[in-house]
Amino acid sequence: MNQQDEQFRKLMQNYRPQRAPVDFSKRVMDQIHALPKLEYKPVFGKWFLTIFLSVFAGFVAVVLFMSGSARPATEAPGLLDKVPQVELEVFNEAHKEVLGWLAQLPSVLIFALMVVAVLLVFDHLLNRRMHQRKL
Amino acid sequence: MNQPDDNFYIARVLGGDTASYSYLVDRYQDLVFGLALKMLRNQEDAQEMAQDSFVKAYRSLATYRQESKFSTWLYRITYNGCISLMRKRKLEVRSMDEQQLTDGDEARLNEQLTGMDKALVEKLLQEALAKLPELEQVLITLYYYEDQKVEEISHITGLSDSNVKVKIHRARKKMYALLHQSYEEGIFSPV
Repeated sequence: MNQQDEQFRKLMQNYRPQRAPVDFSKRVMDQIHALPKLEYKPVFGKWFLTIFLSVFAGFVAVVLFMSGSARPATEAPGLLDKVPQVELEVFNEAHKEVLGWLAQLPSVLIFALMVVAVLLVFDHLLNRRMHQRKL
Repeated sequence: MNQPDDNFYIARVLGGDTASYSYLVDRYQDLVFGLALKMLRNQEDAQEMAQDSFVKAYRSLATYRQESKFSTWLYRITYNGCISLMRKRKLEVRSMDEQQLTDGDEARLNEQLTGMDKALVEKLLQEALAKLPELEQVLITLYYYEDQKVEEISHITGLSDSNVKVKIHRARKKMYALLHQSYEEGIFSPV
């Protein structure tokens, strides 16, 4: 900063900007309190994805175990012998069946479903981000 | 005891404590109102613009990234609002005849002013400032009164750093010219 700047800055210390009206702060806060609460609400609630994934995982597990054959008895039978053996082939068949079913659907519908899925994931991420910002 | 900084209140507002925003309003109301008044030259418009700026800042608070000071961000909102209103109303930026003093004249005038009654100098500064075009009033206030840096003013106004420097220099020269004019006309006399 040069000398002229410095001397003018000192001179400007005599300046007083015009003050805002006395009730200015109150008016602003009244306006803010009157605003509608724009709280972000996700399409799915907080626990939805957790419960949905748990149910889905449980369903897959049940299908796998139900379709499996019983474990052959060994010489020394243990607790696990009572649990049916998992038949992973079922997984493969289900996969093929779903693909075949999807192939019958119009591509527009599949695209729409994919968009919805992406939006729901985005919604979930956005909700988490908003939550983190608040913290 | 030191008052908490802006970020403390911002965090509280984002955490749901809306009332904390009033601390920020109290802190910056005069400066925001002053900025709007300099640009719009009308009390009612300035008050409305200043209020709108605070409400707008509140609504966008979640997007404030703290890359600049809160005051800089708030001034930018106010400045842009004023510019939009001026464009909408087709208000023209006033110009004035330039009569420049040498650095030596400025220093002498400065000495004369320093020896005068503060209230009188304040009045003179108010009057001289009011005669400047809107942008120059804003630049003078931000740079010389509020101690904002050139980069911050550049962020508020959208002008380049070098442009801000040039305009500040010209505005200061004009201020001295106006103060000198008042002195020559005998509007004030030393106490």
